[in-house]
Amino acid sequence: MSSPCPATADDRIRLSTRFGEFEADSRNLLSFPSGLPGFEQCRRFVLLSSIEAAPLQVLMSVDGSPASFLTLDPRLVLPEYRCQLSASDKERLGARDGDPLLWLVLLTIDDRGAAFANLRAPIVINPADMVGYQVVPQDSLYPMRHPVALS
Amino acid sequence: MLVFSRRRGEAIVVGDGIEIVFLSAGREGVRIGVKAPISVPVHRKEIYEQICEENRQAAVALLPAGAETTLTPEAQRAQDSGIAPADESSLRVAVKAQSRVRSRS
Repeated sequence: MSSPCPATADDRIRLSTRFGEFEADSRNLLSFPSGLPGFEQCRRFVLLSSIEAAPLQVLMSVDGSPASFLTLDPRLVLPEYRCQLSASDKERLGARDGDPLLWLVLLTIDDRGAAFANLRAPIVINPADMVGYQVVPQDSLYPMRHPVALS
Repeated sequence: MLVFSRRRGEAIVVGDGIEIVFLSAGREGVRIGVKAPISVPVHRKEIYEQICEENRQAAVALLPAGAETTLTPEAQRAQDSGIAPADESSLRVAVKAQSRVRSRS
């Protein structure tokens, strides 16, 4: 990988966010081999939680571009949410049927502070391999912008 | 850009194991078949681009304007110390929590 990374010799990474600073190490690094659509150069992310932000989490790139995304469990938005993974998606995640997978959706907050969840293109993470992808479904009935009430 | 003339059923091979077959042509457009290894994602470009655009907007608008300035220094410190990057075991816990949500619904 050619992108610069602020890793120190002992493989700990110190990152500054607008939420404050924190440290991560290699066990916290999520590999996104394709990046995210529009952010193809971002191959490694950390998923940040804090009690203040829960149930929102921040998916933050640690490669080059400082891209960060607010994420949420899609089933908190729509309890019946279902997304079918294609054989290709499963292959790329290294996931066999029945493997536990974490689903997240990205939030967009518009100029007026209204929040929308991208239910069409969820993020799927395979904890066993710490690998993630954003699913690009060919046909999904879910909207790209589903209104979310943030309290 | 390479340009080819193809008859119905003829194909183009790209790289290792990717084959693009021209199935038929009509007034509405052409039907194309793509054979690719399972690990190679194949997308309709306009769908991929829509998701790119939505991701760009999601990344730019991380928080509503002014949200961070409403934090007092004390609250900011408390929040700093509470940031936890996920590792495999915390992700597995999160997966279990998700399946509980699913079974409740």
